[in-house]
Amino acid sequence: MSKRKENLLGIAMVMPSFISLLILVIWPVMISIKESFMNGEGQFSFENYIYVFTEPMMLNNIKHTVVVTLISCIIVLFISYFIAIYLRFTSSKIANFIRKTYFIPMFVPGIIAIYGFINTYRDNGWIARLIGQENLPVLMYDIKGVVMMNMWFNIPFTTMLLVSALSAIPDSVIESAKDVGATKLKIFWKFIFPLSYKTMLVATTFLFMGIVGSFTAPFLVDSNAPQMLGVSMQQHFSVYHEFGQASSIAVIMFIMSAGIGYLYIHSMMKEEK
Amino acid sequence: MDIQLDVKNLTHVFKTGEGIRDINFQIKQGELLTLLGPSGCGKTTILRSVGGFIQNQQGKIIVGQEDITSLSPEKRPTAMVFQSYNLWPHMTVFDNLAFSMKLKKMSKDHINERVQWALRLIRLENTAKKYPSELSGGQQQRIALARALLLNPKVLLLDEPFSALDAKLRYELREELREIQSKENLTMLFVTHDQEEALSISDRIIVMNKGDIEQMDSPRSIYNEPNTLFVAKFIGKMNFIEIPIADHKASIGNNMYHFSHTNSSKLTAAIRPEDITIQEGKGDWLASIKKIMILGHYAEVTLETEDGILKTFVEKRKLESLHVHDQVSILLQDVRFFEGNDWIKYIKKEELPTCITV
Ligand SMILES: Nc1ncnc2c1ncn2[C@@H]1O[C@H](COP(=O)(O)OP(=O)(O)OP(=O)(O)O)[C@@H](O)[C@H]1O
Ligand SMILES: [Mg+2]
Repeated sequence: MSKRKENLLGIAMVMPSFISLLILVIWPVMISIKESFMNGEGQFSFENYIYVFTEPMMLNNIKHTVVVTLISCIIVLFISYFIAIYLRFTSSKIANFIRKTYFIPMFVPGIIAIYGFINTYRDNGWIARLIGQENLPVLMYDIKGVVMMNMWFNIPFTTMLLVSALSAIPDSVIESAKDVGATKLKIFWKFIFPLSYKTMLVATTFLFMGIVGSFTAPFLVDSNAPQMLGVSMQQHFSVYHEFGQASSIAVIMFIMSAGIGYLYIHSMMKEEK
Repeated sequence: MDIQLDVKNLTHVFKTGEGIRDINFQIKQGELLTLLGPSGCGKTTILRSVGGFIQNQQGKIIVGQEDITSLSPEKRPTAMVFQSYNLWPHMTVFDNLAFSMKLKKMSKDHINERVQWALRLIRLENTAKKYPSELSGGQQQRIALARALLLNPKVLLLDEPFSALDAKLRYELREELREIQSKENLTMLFVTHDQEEALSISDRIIVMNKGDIEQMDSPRSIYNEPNTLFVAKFIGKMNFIEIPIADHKASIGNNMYHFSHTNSSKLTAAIRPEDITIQEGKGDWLASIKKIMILGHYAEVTLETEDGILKTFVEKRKLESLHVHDQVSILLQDVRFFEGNDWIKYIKKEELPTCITV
């Protein structure tokens, strides 16, 4: 086969997937981006972006999104890393029990988990009835509720990632560190952390992207104002029918995720060198 | 000479019932003692006990004058080279070597000097900036050895450090280790399941079986005078023949061996291939040649006798007069008898009047 024919064959083989990608993803994305730069009369304008970045409600929403995402990420990472370390270095009955059960939340359909959560924690739910309504802090329709929901959804998977990273550290690495005189604290900072932080980065990326664009949990559990951007976008789209504004919110969410994605790839490339 | 390591009544039985039971041994200053035995016999368990990675159920471990039984690994004056994955993958060779000294807050100059010294000793001066993944397996194991040496351990523990390497490299590193050991006058406890490795580098060998010590002796005694059938089977090549015993007497060919007392009706005779000589004329025993296999400058000859099959080695020069199916007479220099697993000494060897000639 000539070089040319080979090239053509190669192109022909990737065509089907490329075309479906084009029709299902790239094209709608392009349209949204275009729409975000158009005013009501269909002319080019920055109107939608000016709205998003000047309207106090929208600014609050952006701030709220960032705050919820960061708090959730930090709490989830912290708890997951703690569980993973515990599971890696303990072999008690309790540890074995946790090892077998910690990922169960992943098998519970999200919507069921959310309604279960609402029934348990709302101001006249199970807990309130048990300990008295006045003793239960406000969790529902509040930032605390969303963060708790994000923990439920994200801790199992993040823990799984970190457990596998930590179990990839051979015992002899840690034992030889002990052998040369390293204390527990030194072992953590000089060995365990450096050998698992790459996976932490991967986990952070997944977490951030997942939480920034989340919809169901914030829609059902979060306060009405401020809202997270996913909820706000949906409202602009199907309640206010402001397609341009909805599109510009989508673009902003995309840029946030892309930014984190860039940081991730950048740090990975630096490691490679 | 001074006793550097003293292990007393060491016992550690795992939940599975396997482990080590009542282990006792001592290593002198500057001595290389090898733990030898098949896989799963407890070698690593002993080594890890001495290193402090296992909290023993019973026993005492004394280094020099100090009882270290209850010390944690980081406080013990021992250093260990592990069976595999020795180096810290996220640190350069320099950092791997310097880490312990940084912990002790030594000066930069001193650390540099010591690292250079260690790298020269293992002849890898140019690797300081490399990461472990950029080194070959043999180089990594040498760095691991250097890292252990830099701790100035009172006892150096090595757990099959070369088992993952190919035969030639293993041979070279073995030589190198022995050289470093005698140069630095190191006290070493070395673990291997390779009997050739054990015989070639050790001052003394402990042969282990299922958590017990079978024999502790110099390589020469272990080879020439195995105390148990297990050791005889495990070390070197050996012919085994079952022979009946009657009236405290057993015969091989026209040799009659007398024993002071025996309990069983059968003994196992163990004969090294090199203790069998094929000759013309008068001999101890009659045999026919079954097979001749050339193995370079010598050949392995398989002989069939009325009591069983024997193998021996014959030099190339002497091979010309031998042919398959030939009847030959053989001479036995040394025979060792075992009753069950235990060596049993004969008190008298008597030549029977029936003369064997070919
Ligand atoms: N942590 C453990 N828990 C339960 N059993 C163990 C444990 N470690 C070792 N054993 C058992 O104890 C026995 C001795 O193990 P050990 O590692 O000392 O063998 P070894 O002589 O070093 O073998 P190898 O040559 O294969 O390294 C084995 O039968 C093993 O199955
Ligand atoms: Mg072992």
